[in-house]
Amino acid sequence: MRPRVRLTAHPDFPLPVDPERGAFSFDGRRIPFRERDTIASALYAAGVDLFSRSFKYHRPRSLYDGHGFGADVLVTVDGAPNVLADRAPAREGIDVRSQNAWPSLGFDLLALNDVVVPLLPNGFYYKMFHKPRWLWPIAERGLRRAAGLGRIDVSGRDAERRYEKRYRFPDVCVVGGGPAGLAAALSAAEAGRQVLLLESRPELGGHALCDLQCVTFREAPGATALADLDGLAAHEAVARLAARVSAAASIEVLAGATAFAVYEDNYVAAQRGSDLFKVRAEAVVVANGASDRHLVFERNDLPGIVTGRAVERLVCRHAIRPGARAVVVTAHAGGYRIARLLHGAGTAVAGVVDGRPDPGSDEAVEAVRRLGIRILPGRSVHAAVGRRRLRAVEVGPVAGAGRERIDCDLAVIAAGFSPQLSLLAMGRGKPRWDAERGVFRAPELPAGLYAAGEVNGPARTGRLLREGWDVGAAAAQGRPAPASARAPEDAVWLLPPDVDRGGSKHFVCRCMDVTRAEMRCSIAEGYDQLETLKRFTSLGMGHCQGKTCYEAAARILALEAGAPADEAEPTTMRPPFVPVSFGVLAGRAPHLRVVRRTPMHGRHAERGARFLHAGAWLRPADYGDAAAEARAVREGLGLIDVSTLGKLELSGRDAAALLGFLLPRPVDRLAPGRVRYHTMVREDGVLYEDGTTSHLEPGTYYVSTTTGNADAIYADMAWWIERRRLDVQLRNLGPALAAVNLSGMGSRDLLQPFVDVDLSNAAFPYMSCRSARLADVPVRLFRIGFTGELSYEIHFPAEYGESLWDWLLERGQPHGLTPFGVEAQRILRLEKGHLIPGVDTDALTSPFGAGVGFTCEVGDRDFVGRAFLARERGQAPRDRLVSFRLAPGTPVPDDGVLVFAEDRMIGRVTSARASPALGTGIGLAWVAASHAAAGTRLRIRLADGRDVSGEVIAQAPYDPDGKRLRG
Amino acid sequence: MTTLAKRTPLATFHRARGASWVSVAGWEVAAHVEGPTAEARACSEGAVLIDWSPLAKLSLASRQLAPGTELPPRRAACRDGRALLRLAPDEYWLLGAPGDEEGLARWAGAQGARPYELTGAYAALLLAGPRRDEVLERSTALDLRRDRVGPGSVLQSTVHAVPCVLYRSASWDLLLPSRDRAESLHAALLDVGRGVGLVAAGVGTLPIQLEEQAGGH
Repeated sequence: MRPRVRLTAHPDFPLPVDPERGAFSFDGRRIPFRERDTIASALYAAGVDLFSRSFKYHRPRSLYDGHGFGADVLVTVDGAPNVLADRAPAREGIDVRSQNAWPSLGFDLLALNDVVVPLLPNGFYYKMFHKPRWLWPIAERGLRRAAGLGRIDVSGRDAERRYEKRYRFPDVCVVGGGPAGLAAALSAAEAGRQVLLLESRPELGGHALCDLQCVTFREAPGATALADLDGLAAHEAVARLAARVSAAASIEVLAGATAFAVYEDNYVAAQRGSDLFKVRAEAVVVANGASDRHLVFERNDLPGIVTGRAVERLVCRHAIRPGARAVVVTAHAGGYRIARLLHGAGTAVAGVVDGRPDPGSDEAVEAVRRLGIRILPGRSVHAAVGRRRLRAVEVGPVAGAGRERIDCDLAVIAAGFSPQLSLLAMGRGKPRWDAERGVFRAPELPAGLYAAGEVNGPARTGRLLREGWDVGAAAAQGRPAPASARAPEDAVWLLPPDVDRGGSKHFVCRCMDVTRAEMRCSIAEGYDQLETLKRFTSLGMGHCQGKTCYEAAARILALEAGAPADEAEPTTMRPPFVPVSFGVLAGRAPHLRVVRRTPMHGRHAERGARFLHAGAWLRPADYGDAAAEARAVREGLGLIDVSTLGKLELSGRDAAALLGFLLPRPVDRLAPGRVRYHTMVREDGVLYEDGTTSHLEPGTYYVSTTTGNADAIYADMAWWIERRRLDVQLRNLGPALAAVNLSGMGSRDLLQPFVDVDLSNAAFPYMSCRSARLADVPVRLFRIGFTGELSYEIHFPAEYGESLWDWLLERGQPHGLTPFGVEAQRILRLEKGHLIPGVDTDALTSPFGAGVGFTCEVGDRDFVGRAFLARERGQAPRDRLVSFRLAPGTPVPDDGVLVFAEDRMIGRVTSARASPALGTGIGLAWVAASHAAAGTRLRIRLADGRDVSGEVIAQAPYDPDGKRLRG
Repeated sequence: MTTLAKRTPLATFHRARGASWVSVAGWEVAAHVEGPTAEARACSEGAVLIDWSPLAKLSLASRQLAPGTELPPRRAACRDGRALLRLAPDEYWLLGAPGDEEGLARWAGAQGARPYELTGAYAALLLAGPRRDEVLERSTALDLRRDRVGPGSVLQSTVHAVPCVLYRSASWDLLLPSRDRAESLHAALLDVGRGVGLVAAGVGTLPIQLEEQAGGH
């Protein structure tokens, strides 16, 4: 393997002088590289001929288009698979590995597929290994192991890789930094618009940077900004234009950013590294050019067969002599310019094989003649010769027999261009064949979406510049796009034929190894439409998603199916235009999801709380031992953070009326200073919420809601206020107020010295509320609780959350005050038989069945859910929520397990816990009304299948008379 | 009686970072988080994120506002250290120096409006520095192009999925999320801003002081 020559000069082109920058490794071999080298160009310069193995047949593959479309140059870089070597820049020290070969790239045992698979029936994996039945799992495993490209690194070393979503809102977004894109960007900027230019390569200019032709404006250049480019070589012209674009204040250039989708409403998605750019523009100009047309002939995939633009890039951008002896296959003057370029680079050009019967007298043709290079008119390439790399080509008449072998190590396919239509065609219909230009063209574009440049068909640089300028101006002003025009000499009027030599190695789809023979066989099986053919053969479903082969597939299908070329059409083009990693689409790290924290959150964390998610909230589940916390409340004093509760304040003339409409019990008899437990039902009478309503002062009410329903109830109230045009001032005090519940028989003794209200039972009885000051902090005190103990709920400004929490714990220390979490609270409430909506209820729960019918006063007034509650009130519920108790020592069932009586399932347990106070298991269960009477034995099936026995109890298991609560 | 300190939702974060503290109108607030030198450098070269939560905040309804004080929707005016933000056709916010709630309420009262205090309910995160736009472009889908959303603009949207009010002045952007989501938003902003030199800073670097803004009141 000898390194290829790095050129220092070229007679026709000013080569870049790029310094050496270091080396990387390829399968353990040291590969030096220069500045601006891609991994592929560095490998090619180092004499590497074998880059990868093909997907199905494991055929040797090498650089083909040099454009970053094909799967031929997929490598693994530092563990990241499927990196396009002709796009990825070479970097010092990177570890590049070949893929899809075993045990090595040079000696790949799976290359046996190249012999065996063609002998199998087409689509064999659909047809074979299904009988006997035991065979398929084995075959499937083998096929799966053999299939796929690359191996994902699951070691986690990329876990810290950052994926960002970034947003841009330009007036005009230009996709593509070639001549048309540059001109469009400048033109739009000159019209006073903010422009974003997306260019997938690191430098602006596109392929015109390799173009030897002179810019000529056959008509007026259209803009003074372009006038000085007339007569310059195309590469000089675009370099000058690129400098202007880079200097323009109103143009933002995102080099290295690849647009992979253009969605409706001019929404462009682009990827740069691990960043996803979401661009919303008033106008989008797609100018992402064209790539070389793919020619189908025998063994057209051998290393050494490259496209014309790949050769131009190798010579002009990387100063590499691509081969020692070359044959150029063409049908237009561009092929002759490539022959001249190769000749200047020191490659012996053995011939220019021109499909046209008469090459004419174009300047480039004449130049080749003057160089003494042999021209073979009316001929095309019939086959490539070689096994691991190209040794020769066989050329012959376009139609007819007779072949000539020409030895060469480089065959250049310069057979015209295929516009890159995906971005324009996505979701907008299929491209149609334009016989005049000899290319597929995009369907009619919606307003605000424009096409410019080679994407409309190839043309000389002067015309591309002019078209870009005009389209840019139209996009800036929101005008319809000017008509695209092409000169006759721009068209490749005769396509070189895809010569069928009858072999099985005519590759149509290089990515998926789909051959012409396979296509023919599939067509014979009935898959004669391209969409079904694609799905049956996987044609165009590979890494490049048909960008290389879409045109070849369409024309060969038309040829094989005997349809006119005009009726050929490619498959539907869909996003993404280039492969996009899931990380880019998924965005930021999941640990950054929004959580809501109470004002005391930090204190809970410092105490080692175990948190649980309650919707978006983080609440302390416990501080290590929920049972001990529950016991502390019963025997001493406990403090729980209940800041997550919803807190809504209503005032105004219609406040009581609104609450009377939303709650199933009116509030007009609720005296100021009093609190009432309430439930809420939906229109269908289903219980979904409970809480408390407090009458703070005449006309001002305060509603506390469950954590999960707070936002929804606030929104519901706001909606009804607007809907009924009520005079209600509604304030959501949820984020403004922290809240704690001080629970236990010593709570009054702890608080009384520090508050300015009388806490005695007579002055401040159960279910009352007062405004007060505690530690000089304004608070609202509510004598309510969920635990069954004497309790005070304290609501106070959130900014005092930590301080007052600390203050209470400090003052409560002599009283044995202990913080407790949600889990202890759940135990305590079960000891009192209290339900939690959403936990002990479901989407069918009636308040009457749930035992909270006392919260519903149906009467004559109108309120939400009245119709259903009125009907249910007179009926005995089919199911009831009951408290049950287990025998001491019985295992406690999980929430949700089933309840049986005799051999019939009669219900389910909604909550169950071990009660430290009672020394046994307790819970709530929905059971059939026939089994809801106190004393009924329930058979509860544990998760492990065992049954335990429970007994329905009539009252709360703990303090059934509520003496402690009211004490 | 004890005078208890008011704390911002970022108190835990700042404690964990070893911030130095200062008392502002009864609030304990971070004076410096990464140190004066690092914060000053980030402020001039990168971006800083500062907890301005003690900023006084009041809300009032537009129909309560006296004639002549209205602003166009989504605009703000700031004079004498107080800012009036029009969030929506029927909703205004008043911002002022820490502890100025009573002054703001008096001003609102003079306009015949009944204000509601929001100081503790909402946090205020100040984003300043030359690269702050690069933080915002990674944080919200809002169009924040400076020629479209200039100083004095007020927007309501989500930033990192957190509902926020965004108030833009010439030299900073102020994000006002609800208190309970502030720590999440702060963490997300710091995370995306890491690559552009964003650091958490304190009020010692940029004291809580609203920037004058031409407007109607």
